[in-house]
Amino acid sequence: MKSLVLSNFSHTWLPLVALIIFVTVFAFMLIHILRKTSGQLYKEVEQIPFDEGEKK
Amino acid sequence: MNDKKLETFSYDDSVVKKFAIATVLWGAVGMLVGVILAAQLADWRFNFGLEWLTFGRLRPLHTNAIIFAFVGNSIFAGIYHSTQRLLKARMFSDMLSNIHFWGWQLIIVLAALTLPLGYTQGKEYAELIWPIDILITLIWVVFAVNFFGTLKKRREKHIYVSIWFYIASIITVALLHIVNSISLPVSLMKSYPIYAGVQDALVQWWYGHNAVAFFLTTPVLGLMYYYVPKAINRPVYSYRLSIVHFWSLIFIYIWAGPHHLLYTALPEWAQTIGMVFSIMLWAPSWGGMINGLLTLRGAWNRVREESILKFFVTALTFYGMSTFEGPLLSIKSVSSLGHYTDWIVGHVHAGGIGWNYMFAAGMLYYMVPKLWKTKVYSEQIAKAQYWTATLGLLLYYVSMVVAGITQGLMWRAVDAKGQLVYPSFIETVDKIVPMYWIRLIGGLLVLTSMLMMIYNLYKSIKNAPKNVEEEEFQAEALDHNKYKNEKGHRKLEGLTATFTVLATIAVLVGTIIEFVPAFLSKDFIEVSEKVKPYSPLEVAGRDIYIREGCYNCHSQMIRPMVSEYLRYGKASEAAESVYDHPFQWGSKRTGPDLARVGGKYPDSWHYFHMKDPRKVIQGSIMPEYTWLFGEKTEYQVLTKKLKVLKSMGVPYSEEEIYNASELAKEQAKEITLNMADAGVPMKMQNKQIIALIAYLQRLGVDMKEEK
Repeated sequence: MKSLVLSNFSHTWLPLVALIIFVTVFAFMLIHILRKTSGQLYKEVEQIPFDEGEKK
Repeated sequence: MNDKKLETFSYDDSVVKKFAIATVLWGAVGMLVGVILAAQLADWRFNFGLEWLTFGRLRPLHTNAIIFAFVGNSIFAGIYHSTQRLLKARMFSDMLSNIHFWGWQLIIVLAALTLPLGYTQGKEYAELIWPIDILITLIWVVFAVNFFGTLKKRREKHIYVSIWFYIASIITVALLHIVNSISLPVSLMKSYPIYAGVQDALVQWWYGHNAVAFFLTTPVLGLMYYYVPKAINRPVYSYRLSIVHFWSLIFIYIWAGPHHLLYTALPEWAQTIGMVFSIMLWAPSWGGMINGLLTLRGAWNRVREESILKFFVTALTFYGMSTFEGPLLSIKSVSSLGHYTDWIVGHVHAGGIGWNYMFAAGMLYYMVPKLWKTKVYSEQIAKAQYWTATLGLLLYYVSMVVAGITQGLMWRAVDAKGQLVYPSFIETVDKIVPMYWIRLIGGLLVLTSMLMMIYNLYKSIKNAPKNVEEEEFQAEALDHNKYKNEKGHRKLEGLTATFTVLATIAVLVGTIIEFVPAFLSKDFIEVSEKVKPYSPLEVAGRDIYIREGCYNCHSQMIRPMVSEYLRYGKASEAAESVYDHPFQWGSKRTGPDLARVGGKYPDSWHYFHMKDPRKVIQGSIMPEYTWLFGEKTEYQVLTKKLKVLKSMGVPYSEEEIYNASELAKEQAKEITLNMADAGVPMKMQNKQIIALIAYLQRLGVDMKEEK
């Protein structure tokens, strides 16, 4: 079965390109959001649902 | 603080109220139709002999009503409610909000009228005919303009995670709907999709799978990131995780469509991509679920007391369970057992009831008292509703998994001599009918729970103070310079257009890589000289097959497995459906596969089987199609149909096209004459049953194995 799958797998470069794009974007995103300095920013942002504006 | 430029504004809650009411009303209708269908599978007589109540015609109404009417209205209610508050801005245009609401209800009413009457495109979850498809596109554009217009005039610079999910959903649903719905009209009520066979299958399941992803999942996840923190009154567990969740999910989800086509004639490499990306989905899906559940950290005691939290926690739990089971079912060896069985039906209802209904209920119980400035009428009724729905869901899910695995194992059972242990398909149906009764009880309980919610919300609204004036709010005007020096994702989140473009690219990567080969590669457009286009009468018969929704219970795709070979014949090939606009591979086998049914039985067998299935197969649960014996075949439209099919590449000669009506009549006469000995009168030759027999007898004949 495995050999059958591989023999029919005529477009190996396609998922490979996709995986490279995904892993690159994912790694970049992960490094970025885990920056030590970003903690304060996210603390502010996560409060947005609780601020609907001041009642007049 | 003195230089703060405060602006006064109000929120348009009237449209939210309308969508909230429409949610519960259509929810009850969709569930009622589901209960009728469940009853019909337990006992076919529940169609009461009415053609527009038969399973094949009603099942699309159930799926469309639940997906687009119930969940659709609920997500619009939630999006309109939360977006305004997250952006501190009234919707861009009250008029567009109203056009969106009334336009969407019109679409639902048109669907409810056309589907039972048999007007369908014959593609799952995309059955609506082309004029309604155009209306959907227009209304969706109205929604998008209103949504992005609100983003433009917002007073909150940062775009909260919920809004990202809404953006991705709006863009992707538009893309899915337009690409999958492209068809050439024959008349106002009939069209043929431009794709055929394998290409159509790939496009359809790219659409079908992502309709689940971007209509039933991503918008609700956006709502989850707003309503769960609001209900518990604490921020989401990890905002960082929500960023990872969003980008991973929208990138990966779009690839997974081919897992609906495992072991079909779709090229192996495309199937493998579908499987691998489905398994990858485990990570972001569970990341989101964990993020939602951990938002309740330290407040679990409140779940015991508050029905809103009960609904939300159950919704998240079923989201986790369904997104575990989905990838599991995408593993080829598991799919080989589960595909075409009721296990899949159980799986989608775990998502539909467990995730979508439970979430909508929690959201409405949160939203309605705030919108109408009142209290929930009865917390006890809400709790009773929760337990009724949960019990119903468990009965539904367990009975369907048991039925599915039982039937799947029976289909594949082969004895030591290499023979099928259960060669008669009806044996495998007979065993699971008790499970259909349990499913009916489960469905009734879920419907009852919905009626309880309608009563509870109705009483809550009735007790609300009348003529309450719209509240006014104040917030700082958006200062574009304030965030000028920010970098990275935070800056990106402030740039609506850039963010939207990047989200679109994330979705398009998978789409393009899966689609381009589908339209260029020979693997997808394999042509065999043996395979000929359908005759004019067979085209008429095929359209009756589509109209009656036969694909809801019968597949036309024999998988390359020993048990399928023994039961149905050699595996289906891509070339065999090259002229099928639309493809009719199906996704469920309530009855047997029909890919090679042509020539298996005499014409008269089909004649009497369609009239009274139980006279031919004892214990059959198929409806009687008596109206096919009274209604006449429409011969005059065949020339137009063949012309349209030819314009899409089906090789009909000019002679065939212009003599289509005469050729069809000749073939009908021949078939009727063949059945004379069985007592079929010649006056039946112009009836629809003859056209249907012509089509059924053609299935799989071109490439049948020579013995």
